[in-house]
Amino acid sequence: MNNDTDSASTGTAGEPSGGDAEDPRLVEAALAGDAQAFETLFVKYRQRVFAVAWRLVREEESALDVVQDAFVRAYEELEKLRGEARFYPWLRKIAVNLAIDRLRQMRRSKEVSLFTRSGEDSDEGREEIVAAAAYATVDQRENNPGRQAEVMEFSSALSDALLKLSDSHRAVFMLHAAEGMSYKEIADALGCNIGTVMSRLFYARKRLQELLGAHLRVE
Amino acid sequence: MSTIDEKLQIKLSAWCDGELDGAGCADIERLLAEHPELAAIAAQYRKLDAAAAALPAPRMSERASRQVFDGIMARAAQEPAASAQLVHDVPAVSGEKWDRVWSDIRIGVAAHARGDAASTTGNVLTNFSKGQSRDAEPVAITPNAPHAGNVVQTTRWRWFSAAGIAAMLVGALAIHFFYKPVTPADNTVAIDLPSTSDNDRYEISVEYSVHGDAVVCYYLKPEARGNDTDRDWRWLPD
Repeated sequence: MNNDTDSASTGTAGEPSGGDAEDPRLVEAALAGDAQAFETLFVKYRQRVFAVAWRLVREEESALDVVQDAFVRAYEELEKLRGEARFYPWLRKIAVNLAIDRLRQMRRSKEVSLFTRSGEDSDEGREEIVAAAAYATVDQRENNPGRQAEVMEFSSALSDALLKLSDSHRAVFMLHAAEGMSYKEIADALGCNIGTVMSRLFYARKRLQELLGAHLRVE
Repeated sequence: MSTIDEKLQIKLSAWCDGELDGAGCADIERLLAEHPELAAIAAQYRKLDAAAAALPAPRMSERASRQVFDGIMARAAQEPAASAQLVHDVPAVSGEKWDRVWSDIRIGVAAHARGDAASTTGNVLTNFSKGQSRDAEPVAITPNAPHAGNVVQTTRWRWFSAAGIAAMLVGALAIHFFYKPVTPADNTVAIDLPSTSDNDRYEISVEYSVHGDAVVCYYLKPEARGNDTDRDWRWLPD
């Protein structure tokens, strides 16, 4: 189960490098009872679905639950996909819905302190991510320690700032910026209209501008 | 930037994402020519997006991945009649209190508005006798009306109306603060449902025990549409 071809680790939007041309065949095979075909779909998209879920719920256990629930639902409703939509956008929509539900549930039950700004575990995890992000964005050929430090600092500030956005603003911003989803796709996934997406995205960006200030200076 | 209308700033944000139509794009491009500082804002939006896209999510470990997949297969292999646990919130009832307040106020205002209208639109009321209601049928003024002169003073009616409305308001607020609707103590409920029933529309009732009293809430699950989730469950007031 380690031959996934997805690109979640880079955090970039776009289709998995393996492409989705074979997905309809895999879906048909899974519908015919071929468990191996469904496992192939799982392996192919698990990291991307996990990334979507994690970006919204920001909690590993919950993100894993969302992945499991999303694939279970996909398995049960695979018939709906026959001859129509592409597998990954459909699966992602399911995952976004489930992640939003999970967020609401977490917030209401207060079982988990969401988006904590203190606490060793969350800080530790965030630092790893920030460091990885920084190295992903710095042009290594530049070999400029000052520039690398600057990018790391910006990534860290951005991570902090994202935690200060409301759930709805952060969800729209991350689905657009990190997942590359269009306004319509976000609206469909969140069950709101395109105007709402447009407005939330603007206010998310405006808030991030306020929070990041000098970090956003464009040379 | 502060001099630029917020609606235009929202459009600028959408323009950066390529989400505007031709006319919208033309508007923004004209604005960009007039306000060079907007170009810097647009560049900041793009920088934000790029930086957010570069923030990776952690990867699912191979072990976690195996556990998740085994869980999927185990759940998928369950018989259709096996239960899938959906957890739904019991609806908040706090809004009911305000509904009652407004309902009382509306009734009070409507009642007094009718009385006021009787005195201000040129109608007269006959003398009141004991036991007769003030909202007796008004009689239109005519030149030969035998009871002309028994006009109820408009000002008195207005005072009466104001006092009545104030009393209604006080009463309504008292209801709001002292009325205690039945609230289930537990705010979630687990419902066992057949996993294959997503295509059906059905209702269920759930009985809660609230301070020793039984309270029944009804939920409606509409027919599945696309990728509906359990958010579609709605509480039905009984």
